[in-house]
Amino acid sequence: MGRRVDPTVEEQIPGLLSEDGTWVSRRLFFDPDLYEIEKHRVFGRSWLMVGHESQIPDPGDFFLSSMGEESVLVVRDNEGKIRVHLNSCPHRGMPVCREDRGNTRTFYCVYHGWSFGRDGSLAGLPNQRASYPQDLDKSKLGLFAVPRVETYCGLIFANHDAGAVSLDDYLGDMKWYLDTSLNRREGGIEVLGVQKWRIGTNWKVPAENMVGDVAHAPASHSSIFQIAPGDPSSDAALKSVLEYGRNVALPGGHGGTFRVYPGDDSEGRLPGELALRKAPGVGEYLASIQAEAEERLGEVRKHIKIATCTTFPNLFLLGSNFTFRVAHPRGPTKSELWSWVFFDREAPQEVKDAMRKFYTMTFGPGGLFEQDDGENWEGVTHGASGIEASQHPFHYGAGLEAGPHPEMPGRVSNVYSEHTQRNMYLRWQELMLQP
Amino acid sequence: MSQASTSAESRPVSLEELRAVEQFLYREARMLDDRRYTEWLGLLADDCTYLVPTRENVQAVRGKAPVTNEDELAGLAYFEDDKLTLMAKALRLGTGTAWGENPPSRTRRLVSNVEVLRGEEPDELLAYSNLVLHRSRRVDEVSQFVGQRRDLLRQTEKGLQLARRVVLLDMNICDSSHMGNFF
Repeated sequence: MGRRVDPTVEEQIPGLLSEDGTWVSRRLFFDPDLYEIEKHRVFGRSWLMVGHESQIPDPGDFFLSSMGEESVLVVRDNEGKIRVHLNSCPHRGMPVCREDRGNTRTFYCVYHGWSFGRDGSLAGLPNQRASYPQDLDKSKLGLFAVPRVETYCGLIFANHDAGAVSLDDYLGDMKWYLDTSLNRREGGIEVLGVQKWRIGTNWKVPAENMVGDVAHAPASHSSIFQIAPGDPSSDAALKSVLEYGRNVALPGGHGGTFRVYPGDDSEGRLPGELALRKAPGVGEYLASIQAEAEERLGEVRKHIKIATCTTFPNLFLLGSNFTFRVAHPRGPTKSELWSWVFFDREAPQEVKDAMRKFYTMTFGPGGLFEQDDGENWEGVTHGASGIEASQHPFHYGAGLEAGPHPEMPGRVSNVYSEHTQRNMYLRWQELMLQP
Repeated sequence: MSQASTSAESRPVSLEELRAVEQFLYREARMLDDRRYTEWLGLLADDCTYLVPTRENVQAVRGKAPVTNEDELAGLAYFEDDKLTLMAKALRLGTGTAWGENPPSRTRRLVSNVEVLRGEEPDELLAYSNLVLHRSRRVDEVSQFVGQRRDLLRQTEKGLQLARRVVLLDMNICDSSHMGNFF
């Protein structure tokens, strides 16, 4: 049960965006009433990423995750099936798991000692004979299951809406792009995690950044281009982003900025990317898998590298930095970022090590890039919320031209277009208007 | 990463060595608090490694030994640097466009509980110390990072150099928008 929402707020939802999404009310980024409605209408009915299969390979392996603000338990049961339970004892609500991950036969509630099997069923009830009638229906006293759990490329998604479309339909054309990172090789990916940090920002701020905000890079990240070894001028790097980058908006609010590299080169032109390729074994490895990638992904997708993308609402993936992450909402102006690093399962260990180090150097709360992103995202939230400032909507009018592309699904534009953000907010509004 | 072995703990260091390490740590703290990052890089050995792991919540098994620090270490660190990447991070702070640290934080590093042991090599010392990094940013944002440092120091002609640092921060989640300061 959330806080009581001002009933007139619902009537205001249509006016929060201009018709084409060019103007977006600042209230989206701090209003507690909108946030309360979002919990139900966005997070209560979207497919939310809760982890990766490689985190829980064996029966009994579990991982504590989150759907919106709510703690959930991701566990592999005795049959190898992945289940997602609310982390809340059916008796008094005490979390039955207070560890980040592990392996267990049962989840034990430390309050009254109820225990539950890997499948969530009530396994142990202390003093049952003395306390309850013989015909107690224990099937009603198991952990609450999140009704829908499906996977894509090992990513585990869950949905509170039993009637939701399949994950496959929900992702739609986003899969075409996600494959370029997750599905390059037989065996897929494996992951390491999790870096967690809290930012004083609304979850939609990182989401709109990741959905295709390339325009922030030259200003926000100019320090990186200044120190990049061997490439003191940022011009070459930024030129390559403009030349090879495409912003793509997809149905469902998904989108991203992708680089389509020419020739046989799919591995990036930015200074950091070039340095990584010189690490022992990395350049050779990346070149050696291109034939397999072409066989699996085809001629076009072999060359595509995800710069950043958002799978609506809050899953982001950065192909060049080998990371996917979620922005868990923790209040109207608070988000918790959970970040994983991934690599091809079949890659040699020295390549995995180099990629992991490259990720932590560039991203995460101590990364060269991400330190400044956090600063901006907090600033946006703070700057949006003044009594006077909040009267004025944000402008998302860059790049009104976007259209179909002969080889790529979705509406495609150059990288400085904000049409992917307009697309995301229009989808958000569509969901918010559905009771 | 492992705790110093019993054999190392049984090899005492001289009072002079203890003093030298303490002074090294205090001087380093002042250097970082004063934002003299280029000078700080001069304290690092060329093969220096710097690791700040993430730490998970782990439950002790009934009847078994208590949870150790090592049990809590997850696979992905906040920092996994070498001298080159530390240089990149330090130089970035001097560009004037590292916005997360410009205007810069006001930091104060309190270093205590210094315990010095002899290392495996004759020129090496192991130093445990506790760190409180107090950080004030912008108008009223205050963060505190508290943890244990495990340092490997090497005696060289240039004085002591930091060859390895592992920092166990006492937190499960970083409650701050960035970790742009050195621990």
